[in-house]
Amino acid sequence: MRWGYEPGHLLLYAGLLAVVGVLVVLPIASVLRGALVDSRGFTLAHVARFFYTPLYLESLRNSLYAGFGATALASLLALPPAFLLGRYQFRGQAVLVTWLTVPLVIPPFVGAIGLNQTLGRAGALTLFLEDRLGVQFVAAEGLRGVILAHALHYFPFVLLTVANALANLDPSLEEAAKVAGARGLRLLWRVTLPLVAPAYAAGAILVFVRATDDLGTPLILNVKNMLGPQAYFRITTIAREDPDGYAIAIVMLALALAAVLLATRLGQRREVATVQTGGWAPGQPLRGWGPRLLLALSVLVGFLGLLPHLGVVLLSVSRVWSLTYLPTDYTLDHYREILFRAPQFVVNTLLYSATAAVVAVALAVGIAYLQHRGRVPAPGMLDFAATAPIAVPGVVMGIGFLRVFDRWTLPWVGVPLTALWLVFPMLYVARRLPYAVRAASAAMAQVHPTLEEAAAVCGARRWRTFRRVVLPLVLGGAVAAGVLVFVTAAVEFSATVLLISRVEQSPLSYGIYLYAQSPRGRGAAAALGTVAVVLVAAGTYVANRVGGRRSALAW
Amino acid sequence: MRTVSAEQVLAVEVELDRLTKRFGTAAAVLGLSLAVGRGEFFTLLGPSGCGKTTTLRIVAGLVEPDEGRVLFDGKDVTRWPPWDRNLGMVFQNYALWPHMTVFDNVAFGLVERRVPRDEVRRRVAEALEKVGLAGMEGRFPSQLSGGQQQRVALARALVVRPRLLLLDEPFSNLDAKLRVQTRAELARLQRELGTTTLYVTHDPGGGPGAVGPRRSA
Repeated sequence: MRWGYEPGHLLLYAGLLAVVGVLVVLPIASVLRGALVDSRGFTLAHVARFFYTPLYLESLRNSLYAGFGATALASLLALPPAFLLGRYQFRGQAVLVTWLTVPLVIPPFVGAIGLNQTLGRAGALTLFLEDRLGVQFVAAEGLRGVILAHALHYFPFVLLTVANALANLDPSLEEAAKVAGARGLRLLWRVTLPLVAPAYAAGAILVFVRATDDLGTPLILNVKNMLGPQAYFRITTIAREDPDGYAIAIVMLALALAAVLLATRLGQRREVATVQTGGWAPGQPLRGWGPRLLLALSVLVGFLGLLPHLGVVLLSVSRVWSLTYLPTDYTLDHYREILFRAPQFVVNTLLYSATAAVVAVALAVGIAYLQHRGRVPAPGMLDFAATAPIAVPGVVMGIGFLRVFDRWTLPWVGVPLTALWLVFPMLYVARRLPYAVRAASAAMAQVHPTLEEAAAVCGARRWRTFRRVVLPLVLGGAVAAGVLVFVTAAVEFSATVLLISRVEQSPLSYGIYLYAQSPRGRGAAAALGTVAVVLVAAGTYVANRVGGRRSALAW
Repeated sequence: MRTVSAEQVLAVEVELDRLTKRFGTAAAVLGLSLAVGRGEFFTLLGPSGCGKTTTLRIVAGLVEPDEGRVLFDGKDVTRWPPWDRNLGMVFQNYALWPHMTVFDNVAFGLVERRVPRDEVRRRVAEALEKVGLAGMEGRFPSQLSGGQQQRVALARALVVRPRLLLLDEPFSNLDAKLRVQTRAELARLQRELGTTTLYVTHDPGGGPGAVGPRRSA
């Protein structure tokens, strides 16, 4: 509020820059260095080799195929219910919305385990189709399985964005078109769809990025020829300094960056398009065969969305489930295994995620405060660095962490930082900081500057004003963000797997992968997966209660 | 033992000496000098955008002038931060803290001044009594009407026994009838307390005993 640079702010700024620099900038820079610099200096040889190596090109093709496939399938699943919910009003609408968003609580790599049980080679539905209809079709296998797992997880995100856009569409825009003579499908095609296209694109691009970048789902489904798995195998099995690994990472980084930039541009255009919303279109009643067909399709989508959950939960309590529709014998042994015999996966996850949540929120509040009120030079720099991980795939961040912190030996312990559990919370802070900063910044923007000025006039110094006025006012939004950091950290896989050095230190997500490697362990993997689903569901519920209608489910 | 006259002694003489504040190339305040006597009610009247609020914010210490000085009782306080100036201020939007009750809002400045708890309770009750809000301690600002919020803001400004009261368009969010009534109440309070008061308005209806500013360009 007052003149010049503020010493306290400068100190905080320097501290936050150092932390963000170490957690975010160093790992990203290290990956770039690994790919673009060799003993003689700058080189494009490694990146060039990527484009000459058939295996890598095939991986790129497969990743893009998975990305586009997941986007297309997610759109197909999302658009009918989106139109139904955005346009019509009917009894049970709220129930349908909740039902259709349930898939968001199951991470794709956990969903893949459930899909394997329902739509995999020996899955219940696969068997049913073969027995009753004579159709031989395995939906959840290989790349198709990757596509299905992502589409079934992310379609609610597309659904929500499009349904919101439709519901908030200025009715006069369509009325004008009707007066001009457009109706039915022509109205839909020429006016309605172009108006909701930017919202749709934002959701679709997210699905594309996540499916293209993923590591966990391909590993669970034993798909090796995708970018994520290739980078992972190069770095962990060939050599930590393998330049090919870094070249793959940089290609992934470029893809993700392009997608994020595209989404940002489209987002800006959307703001221009809906800057003056004249009103809110009241929902129409369900009448005629069109809306009824939409309803039927939506219910079908709802059932499809539950297949991963069904598979996982049933598998977690089954003793024998082989070549039958349902398990033939049930047991709680898998829960005994993960809760009592090997509880470290769950315990570690709770510890890492809670630590990450607290640290991320503290950093985010500081960054948001400086961003809005900071008397410091170039406050945008800090914000930019903290939000950069939004465009960094998990595998890439994991590789960067491995490269940087494997060389950081703590003097009083004598081991590299990567051997300590601390590296996991650090990783989760780095990956989720952008979302926490956004939430804190949104909360901070709600605090009118005169509230702080009034405190200053009342005799409160800057720190007291922060503690008594600013902090209480941003805490609600920040805590909600913290819960979401906790939840997403608890199911992080892509970067986690790169940093595992000892099983005792591994969190739940890696435990799932570990158990899923052996046929006998799949039940325990499913039990851990169920724990993950419960954590995510509970966390999302809490965040919604604390923060009030957050739509950040699809972090 | 504090008496009304003891409070009056705290009232301050304010002098603004050739104040200038520019935002970019536009001068919000250009070479403004004026003097406000002890216990005086001084009104700065003018159309919106003429620099009244900026002047008030300079006096509060929320804005630093590019040139010129602010003197309290002849002492140069231009570089003092707001928290050291011992002021009361009512903001145009009242700036009540939404997460605090009426009691906590009013008590804020006393807590900052490390006033013992019993005295805080007594003085908050007194201040609320003065503005006609006794018994509203437990309410939150969102549960009050605009007029009530305005009076909480006034109680918050007065409770610290400021040496100078700053009022930034405090009535602009009230309807016409309420405005007249509140203005009269404020005039009564100000006479009673004898606090030097600087009042900014664009409403020619003016404050009690309105005085035009002396401006020298």
